[in-house]
Amino acid sequence: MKIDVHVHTKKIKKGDATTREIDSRRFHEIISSTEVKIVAITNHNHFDLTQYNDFNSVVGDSFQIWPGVELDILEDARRGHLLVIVSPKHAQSLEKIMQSLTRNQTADAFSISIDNLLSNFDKLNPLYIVHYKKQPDLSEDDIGKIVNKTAYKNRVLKEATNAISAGIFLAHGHSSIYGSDVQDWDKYQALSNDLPDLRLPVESFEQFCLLLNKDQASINTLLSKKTSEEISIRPFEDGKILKIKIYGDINIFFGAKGTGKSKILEAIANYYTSKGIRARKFEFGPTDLGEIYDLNCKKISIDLKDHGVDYCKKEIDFIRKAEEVDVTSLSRYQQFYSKESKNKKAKTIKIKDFSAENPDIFERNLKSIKDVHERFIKFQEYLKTDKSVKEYVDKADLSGLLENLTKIIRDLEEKRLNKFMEYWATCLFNNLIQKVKEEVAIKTGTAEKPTTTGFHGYALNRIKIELAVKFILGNINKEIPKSSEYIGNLDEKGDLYCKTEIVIQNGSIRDGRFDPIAPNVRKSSQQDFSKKVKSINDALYSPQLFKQISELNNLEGIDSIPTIYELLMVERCFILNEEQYEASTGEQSMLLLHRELKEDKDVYILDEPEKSLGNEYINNVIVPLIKEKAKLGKKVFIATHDANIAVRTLPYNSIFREHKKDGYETFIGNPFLNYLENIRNQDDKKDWKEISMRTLEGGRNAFGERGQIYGNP
Amino acid sequence: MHLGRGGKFMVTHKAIITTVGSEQFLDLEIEGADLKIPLTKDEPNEIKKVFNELIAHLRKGLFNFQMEEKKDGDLIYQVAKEYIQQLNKELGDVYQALTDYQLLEK
Repeated sequence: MKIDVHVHTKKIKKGDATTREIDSRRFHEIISSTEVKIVAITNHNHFDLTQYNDFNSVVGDSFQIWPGVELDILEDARRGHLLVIVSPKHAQSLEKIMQSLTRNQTADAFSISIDNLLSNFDKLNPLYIVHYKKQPDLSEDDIGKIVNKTAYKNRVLKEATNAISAGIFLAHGHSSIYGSDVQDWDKYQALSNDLPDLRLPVESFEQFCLLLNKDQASINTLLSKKTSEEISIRPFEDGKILKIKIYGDINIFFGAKGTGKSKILEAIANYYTSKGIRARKFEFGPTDLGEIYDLNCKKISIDLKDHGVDYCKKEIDFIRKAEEVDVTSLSRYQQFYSKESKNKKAKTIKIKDFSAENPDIFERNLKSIKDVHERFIKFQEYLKTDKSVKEYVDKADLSGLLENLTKIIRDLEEKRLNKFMEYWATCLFNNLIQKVKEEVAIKTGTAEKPTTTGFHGYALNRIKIELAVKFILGNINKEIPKSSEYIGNLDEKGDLYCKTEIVIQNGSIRDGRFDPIAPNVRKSSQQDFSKKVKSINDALYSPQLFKQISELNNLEGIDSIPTIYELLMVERCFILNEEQYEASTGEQSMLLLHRELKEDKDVYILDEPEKSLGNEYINNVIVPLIKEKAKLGKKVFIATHDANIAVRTLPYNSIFREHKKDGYETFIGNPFLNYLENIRNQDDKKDWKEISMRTLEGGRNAFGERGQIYGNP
Repeated sequence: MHLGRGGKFMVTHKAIITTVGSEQFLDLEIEGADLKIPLTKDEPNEIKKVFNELIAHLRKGLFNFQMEEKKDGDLIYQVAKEYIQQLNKELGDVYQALTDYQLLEK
């Protein structure tokens, strides 16, 4: 959640821009579209209770609005601005005080001395935020006077102009914060991104003030809103139990090298694994990113049917086994007519002179009606047995539909029987003719009359080959969509993707980028195969057809291509800005860590994630990702020497390991309480900030740049 | 053109016996095609060439062949007559198959 301690809702002074004016509806809409959950209204020398109440009634519980005012301080001719922010329960009192102070004065003319300020406002238990190095600002002496004279010393904060200034002030021991000081509400959404984060879920003005006082009970109350548990692990060879409280948030392990942090992480991983929770320690090793993404495509598998491509196994097999069908020799006709039987009895057997019927048409008809009939039966079965159908379809409608289906199915049964009879009658009739012809030929010693020219058989054979070839060509010319998997961000260079392009070798692909997916298939065999199928297609109705089929069967490696799957070729590579890219070792480290954090799981265990990574990447990519996990209540364990991670994430749990003469000690604490406590001795406490600055790499800088994160002023 | 099997319109082409030297052929007179089936010697490859042409023409539409009627035709006439009779029937069957497999030219 973010906090904005300085917003204007009205044009009060002459110099105020009209764009500071805002109504309750728009105010609600704009703030709700940001991460800001606490807003203090601080108009110049003016507090409008009516507007405050109106805003509150519209906003409801969406976010907190704290009443306040930005005052002109005049101290011995020195001018400066100061924000007074009070609890919502003092809103009415604030208005009364302001009305009495500004009576007969315009906001432009109004000013107040420090003594007057404190005597009027201290009774409201306020938060004072003074302009600091931000014009018009008070002098160090004037600020010192406020701190000395107010009853709430911890509630005097210095307002910087931005996150960087606030960070620098903090590094120099100043309690600092900053607000938007909004000039134009249209620009607020963008402006809000830079506002300070509140790491703990502050629920009220009073709670915020307690945090400023580092009130242990309040901090513990807020910490307890996160899930936590105490785990017992045995990380070391001595078998001693280490009990640590861990949070569904960021748990940092830090300390000098060789203090057993990695072993603790390993033990934590084992602890969760034994409970059936997915957990593994992530550390940089020799693993290659290309191996993880299978750039060599050794593990790739694809189901062609998912892409509407048929495997064509049956068709390829059919073509390879196809043989020429002979036509009837004309001499057989001549033989018959030249030696036509003179046998009187034979002449009476008319059946021998009948022509055979072609059974193929009847066979196709029978198959066609069989398909229709069986589909109807299946549909009827589905309607009768499926529970969901009974649940969702009206009973009367379903009954009517089933009745109609029964009638249709009965009709189809009858037709199917007729087609069946037609087919078998033809087959039997043909057999009879053939048998009689053979017998007459044998008994009379004359040649039998040919029953076909061979045209039908010849044509049908070629038609079936054509169908198979066209089916194969139709499929090998299909395109499989490219796929792209996001790997991670390479900072300024851009986003890295893993692109997979799969093509079917249709005979014309000569691109060297592609390699066969199927093992033991040669690229040349793939290309030769497809080219040959095309040649067969060109020769379907020519004398060259079976020469082409024979050449197909003689191709080298033909047996390695039983289906279209064996014609698949693949290219997989990393892509950055549409160009192929080879990631360096450092970049691979970045991406591996990014990948680990992108995985959706409950426990993340990272051992020195900063290794091989630049500060910028840690700050811009890794730290936000870790914080995101924490917001989701995931358990994140990190052993680190890097202050950017240990400090900038403001962990709920900091576990410090120290090696002393008589062994190792474990201290647990957090940045909010700002101390670390020895788990074996509650009296042994260390300053969290001090230890972090001393132990972590870049510790002092991290504190200097931490202005954006409020919680440990 | 007349109605053929299944009520479809059908073109009828002439089939005649020709003599070239000592060999006789059955000429199938389809415009733009030279279709000769050797009647007096076995030439399966020649017949297959003719069949390929017939299939190509069938894709455009159904047709058949008709021979001039002769009461006292010789052996070759009888062979040719029987051949054409059977071929006509098979042309119909193949046309039906091309229709069923959707291989007709549109």
